[in-house]
Amino acid sequence: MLELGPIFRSLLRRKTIGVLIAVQIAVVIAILLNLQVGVSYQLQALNQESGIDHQNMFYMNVHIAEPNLNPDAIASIVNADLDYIRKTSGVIDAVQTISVPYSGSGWSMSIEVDPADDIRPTVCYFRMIDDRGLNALGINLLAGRNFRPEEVEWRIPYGASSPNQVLLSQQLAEHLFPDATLAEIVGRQVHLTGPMTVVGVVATSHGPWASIDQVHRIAYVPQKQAFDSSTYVVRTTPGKLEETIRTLEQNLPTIYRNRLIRHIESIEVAKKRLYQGQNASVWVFSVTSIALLFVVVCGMTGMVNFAIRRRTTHIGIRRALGATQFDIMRNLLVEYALILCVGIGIGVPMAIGLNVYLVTNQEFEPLMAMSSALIVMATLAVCLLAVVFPAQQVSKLDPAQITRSV
Amino acid sequence: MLEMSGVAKRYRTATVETRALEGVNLSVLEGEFVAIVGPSGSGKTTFLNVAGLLESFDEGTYELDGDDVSKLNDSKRSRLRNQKIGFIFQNFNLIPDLSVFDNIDVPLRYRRFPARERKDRIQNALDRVGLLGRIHHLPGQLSGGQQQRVAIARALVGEPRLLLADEPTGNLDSKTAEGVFDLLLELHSSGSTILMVTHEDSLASHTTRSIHIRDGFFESE
Amino acid sequence: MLRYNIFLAARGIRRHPILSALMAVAVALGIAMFMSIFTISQSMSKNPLPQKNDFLYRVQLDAGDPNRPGDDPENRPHQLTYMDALALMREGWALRQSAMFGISAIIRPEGAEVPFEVFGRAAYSDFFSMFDAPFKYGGPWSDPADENRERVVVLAASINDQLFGGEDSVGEHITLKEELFRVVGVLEEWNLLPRVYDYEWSPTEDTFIPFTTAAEMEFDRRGSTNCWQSIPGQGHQAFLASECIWIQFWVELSDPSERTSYLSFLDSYANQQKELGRFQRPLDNAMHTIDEWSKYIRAVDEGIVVTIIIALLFLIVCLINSIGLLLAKFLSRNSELAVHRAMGASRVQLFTRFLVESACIGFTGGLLGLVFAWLGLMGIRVLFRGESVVAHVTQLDFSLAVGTILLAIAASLAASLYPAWRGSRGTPASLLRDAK
Repeated sequence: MLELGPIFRSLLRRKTIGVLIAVQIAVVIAILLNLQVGVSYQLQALNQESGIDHQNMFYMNVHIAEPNLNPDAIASIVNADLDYIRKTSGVIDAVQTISVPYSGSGWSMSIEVDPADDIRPTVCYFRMIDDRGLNALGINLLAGRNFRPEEVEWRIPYGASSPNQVLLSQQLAEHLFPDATLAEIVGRQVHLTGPMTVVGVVATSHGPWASIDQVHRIAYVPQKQAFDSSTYVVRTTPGKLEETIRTLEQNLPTIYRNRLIRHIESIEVAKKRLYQGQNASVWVFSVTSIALLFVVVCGMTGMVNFAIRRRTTHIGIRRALGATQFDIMRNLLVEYALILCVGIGIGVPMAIGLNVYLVTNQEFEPLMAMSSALIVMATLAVCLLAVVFPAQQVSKLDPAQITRSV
Repeated sequence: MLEMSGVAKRYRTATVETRALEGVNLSVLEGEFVAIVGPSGSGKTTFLNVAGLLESFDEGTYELDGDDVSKLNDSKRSRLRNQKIGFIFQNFNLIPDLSVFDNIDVPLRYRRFPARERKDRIQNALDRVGLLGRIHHLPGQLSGGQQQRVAIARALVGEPRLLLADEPTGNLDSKTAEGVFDLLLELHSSGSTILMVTHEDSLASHTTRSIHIRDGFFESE
Repeated sequence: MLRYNIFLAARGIRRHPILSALMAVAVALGIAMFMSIFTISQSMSKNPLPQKNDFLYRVQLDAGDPNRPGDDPENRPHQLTYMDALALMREGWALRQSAMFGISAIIRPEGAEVPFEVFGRAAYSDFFSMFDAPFKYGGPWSDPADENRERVVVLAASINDQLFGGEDSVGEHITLKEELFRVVGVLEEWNLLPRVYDYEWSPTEDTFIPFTTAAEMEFDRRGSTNCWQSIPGQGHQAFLASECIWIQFWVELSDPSERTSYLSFLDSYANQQKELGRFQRPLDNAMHTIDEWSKYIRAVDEGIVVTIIIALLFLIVCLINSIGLLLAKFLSRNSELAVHRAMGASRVQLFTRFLVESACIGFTGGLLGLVFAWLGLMGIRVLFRGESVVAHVTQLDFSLAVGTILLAIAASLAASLYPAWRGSRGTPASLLRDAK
């Protein structure tokens, strides 16, 4: 019905352009499918839940310049700071902690259920918070209870204190106790800096470093830090973020003079900075894909235009013999669709080959069938559009004029 | 000047062999104006292409101006064509985006003449065909007759030993055709050797000699 | 003849302006993509101290946790404990050696109420000659200064400009961590990128003080600290005596052939420690040159390899494209070619002429590619706002510019070989017949 026979024979006769188009599409498919995997993988990393009220939060690192200040003196400065920050208008709550989400610095520690067994310890992020920490971070309690004020103790530099209570993020809890429900995990024993009882399980929040594999295992202990360097995380009411940052930047040093604010940054900004590599990859890959499609469409238009023009006479005769414009268009589209399908037939195995290489050697993600199929269809459609324009021009030519010049 | 004996040319496709020329014997002397006359499809264009070294042939020998050309490679044939042959085509074959000057310049460029000499030769050739005033025009700005005169100037400019003309008046109206043919006669009377293929017997009658060609065979003179 | 070829090439390009432009853009995009990725990966994997590569070695002792936790559980730790660093310094086996760690120091300019923070490095006096640090004034501190924990400091050019207006400040004093330090040397502008001794894509530090002084004064550490055992006891002394791993250690050998001897020295030290009950993992010590070290710690982002492969394939697509476009261009010019053939142009001459025409397009594509590459590199700078290093690795220098254009021409020539062959192959007779 579609006269595949003659189309195929004419393809074989004029093979060079066809071969070039097919090979080009094959390589393009190989690139696009893998770029798509790269983009979606990075996008997943970029779009993962923060688990905190990140839009209304910032953190600041304050450093006491006075050397060898005793821990009690530091503790009173920290308490004064926290009191001041929590009373500042627009502030919902604040906490002194470490391993601030997205901040790029923190502590990681080994945690295990039983130090005596042979199971390799798990590495987790370590956060010290007081009883108001969960509220300040905007993290929900999923099971058990929050820390009590009387459980919060002071940690001093190079001190080996180990509190008795610990809160686990859901991811960490499920990793340590894969068979238990969250409620069952409450009350279990774990070994962190020492033996501790799990008093509660909290929602998973983002760790201090970028995590492409989206693993965020976090342990919380009830401690405040009498260090000469303190990090406060502040949560504000919506819209008050910038204003609060400015107020605190100005006023906090007045509580204790001899110190400096090393760093003050909204969590949102920290997040952007932390993931700028992933963000850049998404851009580079996307721009590459678009440029690639642009090049291919331009090139195809040029080549198809040339190939069709060489056959003007042939087409003119067919028009003279009664083929409609539509017939001509349809024939040309089917012809190039065939070429493109051959290209796709080569391109898909190439894409898989490249993907296997990248997965085994470069920590790349495997192709996904659904999105790959979509990309292939979209590429096919875009490339056929490149055929439509020259085909339309040729099929509109006046058959009388073409045949006269034979 | 030109000596062909037993020249044959065949075109082959996968299934069919077409005999375009068969056993052509021809001898043209210096200063002759020879017409090859035949209907379309008789093989006269093929003959002209072989004679003009544009196409190789399958059998026989061909001597041009004392050189055996049957076994020459492409570069040598191109050089001979460049130095000894001038072409005049039915459809003029001027290059549309080159000016009259640049069109006539083409054969001189491949002969690597210095710029000064090229300019002088081009002006002389244009003067001979009476179109010196159009030196910077593009072919599209000229009439058919003028275009063919430019093509003749281009064929003349390298002072070839042999002019090959393929239906030189075929695309022109009769009045213009007459003028162009007069120009060829004039060239002949001033000593040029001309080999012309045509289907018009009327033109052939003005030449030194005419030979009829039919289905690739030369009919006896 | 070349001039005539260029003349004809210009005509040819003007005759098919769209096809020519498409090809130039394709070549430009392909080349730009490839060159910018190539530049970034090249400058990222460049060793800033190639002359020292065979002499400087990063030392690793496997004093890690026998249960192997930590961020790289399969391998030996990158850094050393304080105890081991001191022991290796005491032995002084190599020509030069330095234990070191990054510090953060509060500096209080004279008369200023508000202090500010500077980043510094605690090292031994050998450090400066090991890493070819260029001195503008003065020099490194003396060996006794290391032993006696003297309060001496070497300043980077930028901080000397800030504090002393760029004057020779040797002999002056600055206040670090509320103690007076005597300036013994000032460095010239020092662009050691990457900062190989503590591999990071950051500029070198602003202040350098003796390792021993920094340890005694309990300067804040910058960098990672891995403790696989809880610290026995309280206070800084307990920390120093712990199995915590936080010190980088480099040696300079007088000859690369000493490498094996130094490694066996490390092994004998480790065996000695094993007898004392430390180093519970199997014997696994190592030395790496700067090049080896950057590979070992995978300093160059693996993503760049993927991007290079993609860029290369992109370039291939652009070349295939160019082949097709040139074919279209050359083959649709039959009548003109036939005339040239009839006028005496040989196949070789036509072939050369096509090559010249493609080279011209390639040159244009190269120029355009430079613009695209520049835009691409600027785009990457925008994506990495605020990272001074990115400006360093995205520099479009002269050799890159020349390389871009040459590559564009070479690529166009390669792409034109087949079309030029096809274009010049047809016999003039058949070309003339087509012309009618």
